[in-house]
Amino acid sequence: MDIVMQGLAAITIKQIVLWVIGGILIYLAVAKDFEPALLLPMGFGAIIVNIPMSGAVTQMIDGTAVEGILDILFKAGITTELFPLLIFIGIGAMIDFGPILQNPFMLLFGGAAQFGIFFTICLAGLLGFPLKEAASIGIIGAADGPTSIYVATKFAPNLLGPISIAAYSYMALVPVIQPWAIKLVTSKKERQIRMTYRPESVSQTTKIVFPIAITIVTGLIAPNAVPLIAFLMFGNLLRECKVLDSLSDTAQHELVNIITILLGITIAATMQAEKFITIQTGMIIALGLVAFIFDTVGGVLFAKFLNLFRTEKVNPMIGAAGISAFPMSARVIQKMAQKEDNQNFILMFAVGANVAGQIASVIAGGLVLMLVH
Amino acid sequence: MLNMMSLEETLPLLVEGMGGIFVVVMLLYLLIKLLIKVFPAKENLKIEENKQ
Repeated sequence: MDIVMQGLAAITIKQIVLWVIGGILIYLAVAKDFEPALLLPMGFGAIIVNIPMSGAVTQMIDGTAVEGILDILFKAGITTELFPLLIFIGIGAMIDFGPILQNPFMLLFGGAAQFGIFFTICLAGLLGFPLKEAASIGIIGAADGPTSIYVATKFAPNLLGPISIAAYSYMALVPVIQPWAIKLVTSKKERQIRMTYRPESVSQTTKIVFPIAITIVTGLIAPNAVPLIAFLMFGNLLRECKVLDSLSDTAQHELVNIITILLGITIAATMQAEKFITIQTGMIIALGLVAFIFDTVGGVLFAKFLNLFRTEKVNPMIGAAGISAFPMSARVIQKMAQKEDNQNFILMFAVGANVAGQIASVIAGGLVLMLVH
Repeated sequence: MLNMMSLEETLPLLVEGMGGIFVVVMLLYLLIKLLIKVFPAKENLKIEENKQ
């Protein structure tokens, strides 16, 4: 009987709190549709790793470490960076770089909207986080889950749980965060600015050469970023070459789905009560929000800055679409533009900036890896 | 208590990071312009013709 009651007697308050957090993540995934593909496995994982003496994670039994399946998966898929990189192939296969090739000027907004990353690194440093941990927290502002996980795996694997939760939760909350941040730094008149869309024609050859060329150019500048950018662009090459449709299809669906299932539940291995329920976790979640807000503000202020020199004004909200959360951010911007003026159609610009954000977030991740020692 | 000393490390990172992003972005802008010049849209027609 004692053996049966052993688990019950070993429950701690912190573990119960983690069950509740797991339940909240599952609720957000199911009821609110907040990034369900990742939050649901993470929520369930958070519950199973916090069952006392759970065999899912490594336990000491009679002085011997018995490895749990989640720790084995963690070593195989996260420590080796395999899972986030494989997801990049699928993401690359999903992205159509057409809008950015038709209107490359939008690349600038993708760059500007990474400001939140570096601002948050400074803030995390001020709050006492060591540089590598601060960099991992700042990269939440990439608004790109796999990039955040990739950088955190390299610099602060112990913080992977809260960083992943923050990254994916705030991506789901873009429709709430961005309108508020944009209104903070723009006037109604600025939000009503109309823009004329004049796309360049793009050949299929350009679409095929682009992923190869961008890998070489970025790789020469930030060699550390080669795995990130190369896997993303390899996926895109599968899509654009038009002779590997079945591989592109597999990358977009089966590959991404399988890895997402494994990634979510494996990250949960880092959500063990004793390590997770700390003030540090709360600070990371708060700093993630700061990163998203300052990405938005950085993009908008950059667009306003450009308007000082341009005769044909840019709607500054386009700057906010330069984050990587695709296509949610572009949709939010178009919705806001139409709310101010129902004849204002800036969706194609916003989509261009949003696609630029996907490229720029990966570049930012690579630069952080290169600059932080 | 704020760790002001950290700014010695993080501020240069902010400047170099944002500077680096804009350098790469500008290079990509030029790259796209070059690709569009070298492979103009009418290339599509040639690919279509070759397929036929």
